[in-house]
Amino acid sequence: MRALDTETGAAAWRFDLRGDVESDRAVYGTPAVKDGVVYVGSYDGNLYALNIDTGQDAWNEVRVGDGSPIVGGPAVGEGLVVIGSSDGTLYAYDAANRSFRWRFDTDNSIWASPAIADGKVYFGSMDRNVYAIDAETGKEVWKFPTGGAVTAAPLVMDGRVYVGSFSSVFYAIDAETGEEVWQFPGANNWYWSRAVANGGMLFVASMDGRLYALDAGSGQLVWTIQTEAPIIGAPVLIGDRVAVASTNGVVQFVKQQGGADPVQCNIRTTIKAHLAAAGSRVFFRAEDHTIRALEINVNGNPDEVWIHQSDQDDPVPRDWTRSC
Amino acid sequence: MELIGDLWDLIINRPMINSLVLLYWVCFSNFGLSIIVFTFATRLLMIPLTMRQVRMTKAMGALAPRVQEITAKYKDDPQRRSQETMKLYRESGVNPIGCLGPLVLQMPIFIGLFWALRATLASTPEGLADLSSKLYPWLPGIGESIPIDPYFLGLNLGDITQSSQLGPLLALLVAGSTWLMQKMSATRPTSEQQAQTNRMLLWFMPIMIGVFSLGFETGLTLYWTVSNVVGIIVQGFIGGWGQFKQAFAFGFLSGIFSTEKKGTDAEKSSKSNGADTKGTADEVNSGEASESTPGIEEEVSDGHRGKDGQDYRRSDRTRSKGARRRARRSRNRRR
Repeated sequence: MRALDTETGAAAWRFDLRGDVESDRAVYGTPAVKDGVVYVGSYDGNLYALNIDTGQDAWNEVRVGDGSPIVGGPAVGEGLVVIGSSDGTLYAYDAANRSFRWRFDTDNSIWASPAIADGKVYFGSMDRNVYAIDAETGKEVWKFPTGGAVTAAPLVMDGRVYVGSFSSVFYAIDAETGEEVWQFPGANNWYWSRAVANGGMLFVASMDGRLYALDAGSGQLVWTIQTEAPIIGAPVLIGDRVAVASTNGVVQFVKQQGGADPVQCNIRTTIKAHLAAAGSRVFFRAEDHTIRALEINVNGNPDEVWIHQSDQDDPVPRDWTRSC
Repeated sequence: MELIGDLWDLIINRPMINSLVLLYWVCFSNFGLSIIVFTFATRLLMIPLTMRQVRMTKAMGALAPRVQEITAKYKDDPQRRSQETMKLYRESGVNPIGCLGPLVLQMPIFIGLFWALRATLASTPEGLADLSSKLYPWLPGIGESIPIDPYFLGLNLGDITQSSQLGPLLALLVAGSTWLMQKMSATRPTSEQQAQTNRMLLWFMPIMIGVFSLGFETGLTLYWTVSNVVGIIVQGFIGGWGQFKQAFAFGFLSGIFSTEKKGTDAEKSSKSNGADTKGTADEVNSGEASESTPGIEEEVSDGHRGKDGQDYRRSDRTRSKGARRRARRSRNRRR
């Protein structure tokens, strides 16, 4: 686990996860940040709470459930830290003192990051359902069957829960009642990651290699672009554009309006991770053990501004040639 | 190399993965059942080849005495021996390579299933993401079926066989069924050396496969066991149940504890066939081999009839009804 300077890519601190073997030390989910603490779930089955300035473990890690792998990230809110485990259970801890608050069992692994809003915890499970849980009691409020496993984190906005599933259908669900508002069945493959929204538009990527722009109110398809490979990671909004990375290593930037004016950067290595953005920069991890930053310059084209090699001390390799 | 990989993916891997997922959907989300149905389906598709193999194997067994004669006659001239042997096979319509068909086809299926099981029972995010690229999006039930529940009768089909409590039992089943399968499909050796090799293989192969299966995924071990069981049934229907009955009556135990018995049986067989070469217990019933090759049947029947009528009738009892009927008709024709 590293904290990097967004300007230079240099590591501010590094924290070694506890897993005995390298594969157990993987972090798939996006960390959550609240009140100066970074919460992160690891494949070693532990939940860590790290000081955002020093990287020191404030909680001395919490073993989640039976220590089954954690794939999704945690959610923080309502005084809780909530995280799902591959053992099929959602666990809630007190954010202040790490004490266990409640657990909620499902019928299959939970790989999706949960979302907390309006006193409820929303999350999807591989048992093909989306759940709403009372954040105080841990009791089920409603359950919505999607017809496919759910690994995508739900997007909760304007009283609705937006989420896609392995049934290749994207749903809008009433956050209060759990009733379906609309569905978009237009994709040809699974939805793996969460949607992002802006100005009444939803942007969601599917493993069929398409980025879909949907009307949040009606679920109507506004536009779509086809990339050359499946998209696993979540897209991100940057300025007036939306960025999306395909597994073939191409990061595309298109206008949120109409999907026009596409520009791209091909880093020539697989990208499966979610994208993150800050200012005019997009950050992501690639399969060659690098973390990269792309910046949209004034003429709208992306420039690779730094590359951090996580298996080397030197953050920017001397033989580095920019991908774009 | 990349082209071979792509072709393998296109022809073997993807169809196999999608078949397994579709069967899982059809078989009430029971992956063990889908492997069993898959095994039956592949074995059914191979039945024409299997029948050909069984017939060729039996025909070769029936020709063994004549091959032995050729071997004895041209023992100092290997080239002539080979020519004469091939000529005999050609004239009798026997293709020695025909015995290998199902075996050759089984290997890509086994290797394909090895990778297909790993892909289908993916338990990591990378594995599951890769699986999505291998599935046909138009296939019904795909989205609903993933992730596959790997449990069947308390076994995790994605785990290595030895890690399960029932693993050793499954390995024993694979070894036992392989032994029985080999026993039922054994050909009559043409020399003492070949007989020894057969004897060794009869035990070596099952033990080897049993030990190897401990290191494979439980799903593969299940496939291998079911495949053997289907093979035994097919072999029994096509070639008769004589060897099967014998194996369960006394052959299995005698095979473990006694080699003398084999010698006795072999001598009996050699005598009854009019051949001077010792054989194994496998040979005793191989007189029935000729049912699908009329020319050869004559040879073998004569061999039994010539020496000892009592012996002939005893071995007659171990034949299938169809074989006995055909043999009676053949004898009546000669009379």
